[in-house]
Amino acid sequence: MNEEKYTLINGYFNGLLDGAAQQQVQELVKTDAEFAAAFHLQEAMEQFPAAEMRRKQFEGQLTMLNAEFFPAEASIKTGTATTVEQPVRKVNYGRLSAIAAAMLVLVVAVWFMFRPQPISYQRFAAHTPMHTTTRGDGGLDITAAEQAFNSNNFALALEKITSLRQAKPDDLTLQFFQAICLIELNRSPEARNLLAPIATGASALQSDAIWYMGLSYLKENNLEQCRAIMQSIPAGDFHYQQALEILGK
Amino acid sequence: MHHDQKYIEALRRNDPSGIREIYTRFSKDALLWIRNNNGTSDDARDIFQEAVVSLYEKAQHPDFVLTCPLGAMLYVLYSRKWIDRLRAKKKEARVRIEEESRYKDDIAPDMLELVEQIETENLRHKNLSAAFSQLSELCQQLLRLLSEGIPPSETAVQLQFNSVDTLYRRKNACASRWRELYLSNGQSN
Repeated sequence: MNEEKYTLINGYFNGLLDGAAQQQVQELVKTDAEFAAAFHLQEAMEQFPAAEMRRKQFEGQLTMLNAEFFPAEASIKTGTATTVEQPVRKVNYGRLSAIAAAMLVLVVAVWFMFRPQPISYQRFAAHTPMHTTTRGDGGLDITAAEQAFNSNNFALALEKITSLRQAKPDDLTLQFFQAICLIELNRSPEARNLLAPIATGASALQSDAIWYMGLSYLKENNLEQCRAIMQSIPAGDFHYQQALEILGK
Repeated sequence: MHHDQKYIEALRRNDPSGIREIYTRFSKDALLWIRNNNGTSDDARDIFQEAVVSLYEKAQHPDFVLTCPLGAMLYVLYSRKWIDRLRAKKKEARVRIEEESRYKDDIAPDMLELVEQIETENLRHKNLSAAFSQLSELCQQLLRLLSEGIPPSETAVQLQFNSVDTLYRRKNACASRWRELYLSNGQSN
C-alpha cells in the first residue's frame, strides 16, 4: 500500500482530517480491502496499550480465583518414562537396623530441640486493630465495634459491624472486619463470601483479603486449600514471609 | 440472546461476584477435561484463565451478545487451546478427540465462527504485544500515554517534545516501526 494511504490513516486516528478526508477514509475502508486491513490494524494498535494494561489488571484479579479453584499439584509427567534397573545388593539387616536406630535417636533429639512450630490458625491470626477512619452518623456504634473487636469479643463486634453495614453496605473496611469476626466464630464459608469480592477487587485491602481467605481455610484445618491461596500472595507483600512459612518454603 | 449473557455483562463490568460465579460453575469441567487429557491442575489453571481472558476481551466490544451457553463456549475455547498446546508438544495423539463432541447439541451454528473470531483477535493481540515490546522505551511510553487518552498537548509536555506536530511525527514513526515488526513477526509465525 502506498505511503499516501498510510498518511491518511495516521491523520484519521490522530484526529487531524477534515470532514471530506474522513469520509474518504470511510469510503476506502468499504471499497479497498488492502486499505481496510491496514485501517483495522491501526485501529487495534491505537487501542492496544490501554487494552493490554486492562488485560494485565484482569489477569491479576484472576490469580486468587485460580489458586482457589485449581489446587496446586505435582506435575503429571507426560513424557516417556525411563526406568533404570538397580543392581541387586545383599543387605546386612542387623547392621542396618543398628545404624537406623542410632540415626532415629539423633533425628528425634535434633527435632525436639529445633522442632518447627505447627502451622495453625492461632499462630498466624494476629489481627490489625480495627480502626475505621470514617465516623459519620454511626460514630458511637463504630467505637463500640472497634472496642469489641480489639478486645477479641468477636461475637459482639460482629453484631455491631453487621448493624453498621446495613447503613453502609459498600464500606469495604467494615466488610473486611466482619469477615475476620466470622472466621473467628468458625463461620469461614460466610467469611469467604465477604472476602472474595475484596480479594478480586482493586482496593488497598485486596492482599489482606487474600491472606484472610487463606487463613479461613486454616481455621477449618484445610491446609491444602490454605496453601493453594497462599501461593497467590506476591513477593514483597506484607504477608509474604508468613505465606512462605505456611507453604513450607 | 442466551441467558448466560449475564456472565458477559459481569465480565464487561468487571464484577467480582459474577466472575467468581464463572469459576464456580465452569472451572471444574475444565480441570477434569484437561486432567483426562494428559494435563495437570497447573495446565488447567493456565488454559482456563486464557479462555476467560479471551472472553473478557470479547466482552469489551459493546455489541457482543452471547447466543449460546457459556459452558459450551468456554469448552470450545479451552479444549482448542489445550489441543494447540499439546500439538506444539507433539502429543496430539494423546487427546481424546471424541470429547470434543460433548457439547455438540448445545453449539449454536454461529458459535464456532465466533470462537474463530476470538482466536484471531487473540493471535493479533499476542503478535502486537510481541512487536510492541521490541519498540524503544520512548515509543512505548508515547503510544501508551496516547492510548490511555492523555491529550496530545499534555503528552508532548510530559515527553519534552517541542510541539504537538513533533509528537505526531514521532508517533507515526513509532506506529510504522511497530507495524513493520508485527507484519514480519506474523510472516515468521
